[in-house]
Amino acid sequence: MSREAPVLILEYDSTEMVPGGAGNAASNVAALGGQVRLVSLVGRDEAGRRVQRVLPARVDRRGLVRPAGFRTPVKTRILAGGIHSAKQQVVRIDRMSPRAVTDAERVAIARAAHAAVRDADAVLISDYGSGLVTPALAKDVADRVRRRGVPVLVDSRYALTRYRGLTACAPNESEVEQALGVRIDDHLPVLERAGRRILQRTRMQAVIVTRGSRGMAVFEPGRKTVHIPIFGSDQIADVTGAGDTVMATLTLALAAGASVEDAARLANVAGGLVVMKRGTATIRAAELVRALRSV
Amino acid sequence: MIEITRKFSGARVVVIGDLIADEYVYAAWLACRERLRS
Repeated sequence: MSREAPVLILEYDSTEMVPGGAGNAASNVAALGGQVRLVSLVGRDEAGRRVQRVLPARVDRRGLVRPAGFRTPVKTRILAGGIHSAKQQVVRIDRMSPRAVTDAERVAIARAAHAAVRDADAVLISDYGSGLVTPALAKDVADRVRRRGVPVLVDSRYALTRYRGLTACAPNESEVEQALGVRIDDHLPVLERAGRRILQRTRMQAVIVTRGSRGMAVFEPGRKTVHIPIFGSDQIADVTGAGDTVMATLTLALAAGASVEDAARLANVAGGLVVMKRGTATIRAAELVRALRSV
Repeated sequence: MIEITRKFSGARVVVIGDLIADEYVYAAWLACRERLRS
């Protein structure tokens, strides 16, 4: 214990940086072997330089916009533990941009998105709530690719039901509970009603509800709900970034021509594998194939 | 489903959204270091 305050003293070991948010989703697509272009804002600051250095080489950076005065959001997690034991997260410090995303930055992102989706097989919109990604941008992108039948998926933490008419979303159970003001737990009739309500409200072609150790539920209009049990053990090491792995696998599988149900089954396996790894991790296609062969 | 994974390499995905720098700072409990030294 410290003599300065009732706090523990830690001895610094090392620092690691990995791409988070949409960067993690893009890293997951790249790890699975897909071709991926990231459209995002990045600051001309030290964090911006570092996060670009750790983006996998396979991630196409032509969609990165670097406006002056924008600060790259940083989430710092302090992990502590014994020398030879697994570390646990003690505290997280967030350094988000002190100002809102400007109109000029939104226009620049829309332009980068228009160029990027021209030859895309699928689009993933990842809304972490900064105001960069909006339902209007999602609609704009969806309108541009609709004629080619390109799937557009959305991952939104706080505004799920404001995204309408896209291909699919994959909220977790607590996001569904928050959006609808219900409590699901183990009650399948409540889950059924909730899934159908999200489908109705968002007018999406599919809603995949991720349920942690209870697996996934796939809702499509006019089809019976498909319940997929959890893949692997429930020996969960770390769920950080698992939602990004699920969304990346779903999107890549749809881009490769899979049905929604098959894409969800693949995403379920990828999600089951990634939670057995520590930290923000990714899954390679070979790992996915090995796991599929073991089923 | 394995068949689908073979088509991953030809699939082009665009990800649009917030790029966040996720920083992990690893540390050891001081007591562990001291126990190790003694």
